[in-house]
Formats: sequence, C-alpha cells, structure tokens
Amino acid sequence: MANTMTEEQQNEMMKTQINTFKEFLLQYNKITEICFKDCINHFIAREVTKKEESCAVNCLEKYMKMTSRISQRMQEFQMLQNEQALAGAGGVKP
Amino acid sequence: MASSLGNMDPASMKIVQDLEIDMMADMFTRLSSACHQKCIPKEYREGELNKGEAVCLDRCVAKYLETHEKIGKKLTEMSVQQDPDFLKRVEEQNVKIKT
Repeated sequence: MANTMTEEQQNEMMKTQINTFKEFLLQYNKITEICFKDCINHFIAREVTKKEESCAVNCLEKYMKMTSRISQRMQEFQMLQNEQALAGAGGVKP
Repeated sequence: MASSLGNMDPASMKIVQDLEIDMMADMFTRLSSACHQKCIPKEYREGELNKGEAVCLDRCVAKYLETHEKIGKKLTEMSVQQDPDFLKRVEEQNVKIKT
C-alpha cells in the first residue's frame, strides 16, 4: 500500500505528522508554563517538593480534562450552527 | 463557512480552508486560556474537574462563542459604515458562493 503512494501524498502525510508533533510540543510548553506559574511559588529549596509535584500533576490532569471538555462543547456549538446554516440555505433555495 | 465555498478553484479553496482551520485553532487556544483563567482556581488538590468548574467551563465556552458572534456582527456593521462598498463586496462573494 505504502509503495503506491505518490511523492506528493507522502509529503502531505509528513507535513501532517510534523504539524501534529508541533502542536503537541506547543501544548507541552503551554501546560508547563501554566502549571509552573500556579504551583511553584517559593524558592526555599532547590528541588521540587512533593506538594509542588502533586499540584503540577493535578494541574496537568485537570488541564487535559478541561481541554477535552471545551473542544467537545465547541464541536457541539459548531454542529448546531451548521445545522442552522443548512436549514437556512434550504429555506432560501427554490 | 467551509460548507459555502462554491465554485472556487481547488487551490484557493485549500487556502481558505487552511485559514479557517488555523483560525479555529487560534480561537481554541485563546478560549482555553481565557476560560482556564476564569474557571480553574490555582490550587490543584485533585486532578478531576469538579462540578462547579465544569459548569463554569460550559458557560464560559458558550459565552465566549456568543461574544465572538456578536462582535463579528458589530465589526461587519462598522466596516460597512467606514467603507460602504464593504457589503457590496461581501454580497458579491455570497453570490459567488451560492451559484
């Protein structure tokens, strides 16, 4: 199957993969920034404390859940809008 | 909007579609950041979203999207006031799309 792919298709796939990876890295940095800001507040010791670590882990877990909830709600909104647009277009057309 | 791309040539259609995807992704990032700031307290005693946070997030998304729409409408209005040809151009685009 892979051999039947044209060079263009392979390039396209490569691009999508790189893009996905890029998105992952961006999200990784974003979460680190947020959770660092929210959880690491004093610098008495050099090491990350147990408390800070559990805060950061909870922060990550919560962030992921938040993201999936938001994307779910956005998709619902979009679907509703598409339906309305379709209904509107259908009504206008002769 | 993507559904209304009528008789455009594939190349420019791809550009418009990519632009739309990029815009959606950008909005998602901004929305997430705004609603995180407004709904999630800075103490993380657990990894679960609690009831209050979940409800807050749902409303936050709804309000953000509604605001997005309202501002879009107003912005169009203002653009028309500044440049009367704006609507004409949009209409032309719509005619192109519908045919």
